[in-house]
Amino acid sequence: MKCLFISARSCTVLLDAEGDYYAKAPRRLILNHKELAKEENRSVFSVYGLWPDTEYTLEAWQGEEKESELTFRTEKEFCTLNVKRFGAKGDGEKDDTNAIQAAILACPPAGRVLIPEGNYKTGPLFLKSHITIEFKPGARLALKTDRTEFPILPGMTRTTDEKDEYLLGSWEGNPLDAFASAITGIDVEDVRIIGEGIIDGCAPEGDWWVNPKIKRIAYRPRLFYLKNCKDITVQGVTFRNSPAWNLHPTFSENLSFLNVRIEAPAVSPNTDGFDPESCRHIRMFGTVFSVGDDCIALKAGKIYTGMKYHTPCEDIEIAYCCMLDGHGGVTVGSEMAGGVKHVRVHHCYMRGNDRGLRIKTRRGRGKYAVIDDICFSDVRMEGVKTPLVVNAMYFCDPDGHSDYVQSREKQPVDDTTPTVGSIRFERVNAQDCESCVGYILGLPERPVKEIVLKDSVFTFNPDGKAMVPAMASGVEECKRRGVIAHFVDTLTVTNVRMEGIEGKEIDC
Amino acid sequence: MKIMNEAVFRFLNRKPAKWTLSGGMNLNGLIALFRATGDQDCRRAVLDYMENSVSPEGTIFCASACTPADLAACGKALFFALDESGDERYRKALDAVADGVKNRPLPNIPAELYAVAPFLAEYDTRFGGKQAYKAITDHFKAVHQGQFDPETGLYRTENSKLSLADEGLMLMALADTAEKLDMQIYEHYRTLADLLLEAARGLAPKKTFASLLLPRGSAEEQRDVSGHVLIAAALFKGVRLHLLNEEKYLPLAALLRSSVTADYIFGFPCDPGPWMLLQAETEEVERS
Repeated sequence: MKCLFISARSCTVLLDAEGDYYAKAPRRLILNHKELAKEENRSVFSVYGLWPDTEYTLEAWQGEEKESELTFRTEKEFCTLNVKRFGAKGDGEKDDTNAIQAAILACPPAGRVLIPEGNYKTGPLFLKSHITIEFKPGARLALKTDRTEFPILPGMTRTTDEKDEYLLGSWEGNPLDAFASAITGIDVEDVRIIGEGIIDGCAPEGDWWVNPKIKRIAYRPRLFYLKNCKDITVQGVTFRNSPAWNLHPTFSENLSFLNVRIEAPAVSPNTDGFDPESCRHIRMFGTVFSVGDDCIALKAGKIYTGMKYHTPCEDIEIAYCCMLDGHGGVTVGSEMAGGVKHVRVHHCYMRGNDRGLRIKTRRGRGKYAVIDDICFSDVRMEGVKTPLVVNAMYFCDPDGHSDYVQSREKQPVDDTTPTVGSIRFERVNAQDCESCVGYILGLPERPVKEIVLKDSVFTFNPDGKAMVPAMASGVEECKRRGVIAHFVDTLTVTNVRMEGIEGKEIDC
Repeated sequence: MKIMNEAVFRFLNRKPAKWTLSGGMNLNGLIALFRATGDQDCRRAVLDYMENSVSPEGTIFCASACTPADLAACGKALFFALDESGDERYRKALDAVADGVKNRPLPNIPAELYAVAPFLAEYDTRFGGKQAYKAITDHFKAVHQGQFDPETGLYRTENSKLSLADEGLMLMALADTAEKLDMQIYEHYRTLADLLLEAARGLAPKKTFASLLLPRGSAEEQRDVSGHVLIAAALFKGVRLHLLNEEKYLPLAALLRSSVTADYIFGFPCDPGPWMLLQAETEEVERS
């Protein structure tokens, strides 16, 4: 057992390092001699309702045998401010925005804002540094749906001397006016948002998903948005029915998301689960995704911000997560002009996604658009149609179908040429694939540097449908194929079993 | 404003023998006034003029007498006519105007650039898949490279042939074209925004009406207030679009406007089009 996070009121532990989202075997958990769970079957588990500055012992039992024991001490806490004492009603009718915001702004360092059980109708709330916000079970923030009541984060504001800029709002990789999010953090640090509550975007009750790409006053809010923040932890909270992307931290660092749930209908537009943009040092552990778009999409600006700030998304660990039904399990791009590097996805479970790992880039993304050192290991997939796609000719943007983007002829290498470095798949067990094991399309002038598939098994659904594995011109539908690779420097396939494929295992 | 409108209505009531650059500015001034004030006379005047100009089959009657820039100048009003009437003849006419401008180099002359670039940007945003954005912004960058003097901060310098009205047209071309681009193709939108800011910064030290005139300005130029009017309109528009700092540029725009109104407009000539654009932008800023 390993402790991942401790606050004054909660902790998160890794129960089974060898499992994926699900532990290899269920555990009975005992906290200070009191039974906490009879059969906990997740690998990452969180405990709430603890008392500050108190020592606890957590025991994990398998059957009659004590497997492990962890002793930890909770952090100190200065005080608790209950939002109901600030006038919040939690009746689902009264607008509780001001009451909760007042509690947040009044909270001292090391203090806790407590949101008890209830339905709190709110607009966007803004965070403050050095506090904890705790949702009690049954606490639900219900985001208002009238966009005219939402504050706007301006995309770009010139500095007073007109020599620089201040970016706030963000929409699909560009600094554009966007509504503030249900929870918005700007230049804050040392914040914990914990507990078993729900942050509900209530999008089905409004018009956020109607003409979703059209700017109406401003672009759609997310449920959780950070800009220039650090040391932020979100633990246990459920995010539901977001108007757009769910979690969108930008230009931030040291972020942890533990035992979070992210839910949106499969048909909801652009409800990506987690889209860190130009962030570093991220842990995403034990989270469940079931969304209408990509479960996770790692980004670094479309063109302007990527080229100006060249701040990559890097040092990211995604582990013990469960990705259900999203288009892509983990996607890189397509807005990645600042680069995406050093990504570890391990011990995850994916089910029913179109693609497991999907890398999207294109000519024009620029010299800082370097994707490198991406590793999937110990990942279990079921019904993921295409486990691996690397596409350097992704047809996004107005010129996506142009010869410049789609040409299979060598183009000059210049400041607009992106790079795909090393991509590794190790110990991946993918059952019931449909299209192909992997589709790799590099650039002729700058091939993908290295693809490694090692110690993995891929089996195919005999009734699976053909699909186009990569969104690039001229890519045809395929079914039950091995690895199809174009413009790759080194392709290494070692100890890989492909069952039920038609044709060659490697088609270059 | 009423005097100007009457002058414009006289122009519009004639059977259009030829679309012109100044005619285009009149039409766009009327459209801007309608949008800013809801004045139905302005709307009706534009729609009547376009109806008289375009056959039910979408042919522009005077097309053979016009340059591509003339067509684009008045053709910008075709978007308005299409939106307001839903009449497909205007869509066909738009295609015809676009065919005339999109396969030839964009002009360098400010009056023509102001006519063509916003038209092409709007056409490309609506119907062209936004594939012309790069060519449009590259052209503005080339004009900037060739004509902008970083020393003075002006497109119009001692050695250039540009008039003050040309300086205003350049600013309007930048502001109008930026407005017509889809901001989601941010890098191109931002290019124009930055060029507009640079041009506006060059004007910021000019605190008076007269100081905008170069010493060599001819007597005719010194009497023509169109440049001041256009610069003021462009600054108002830049502020309205959040491309320019309100606290810095609004006073300058207001100063230009008030000095023109108080001392010059009734004594010296000014085309009605720029004046209507200024009136409309003033209304818009005051409303916002």
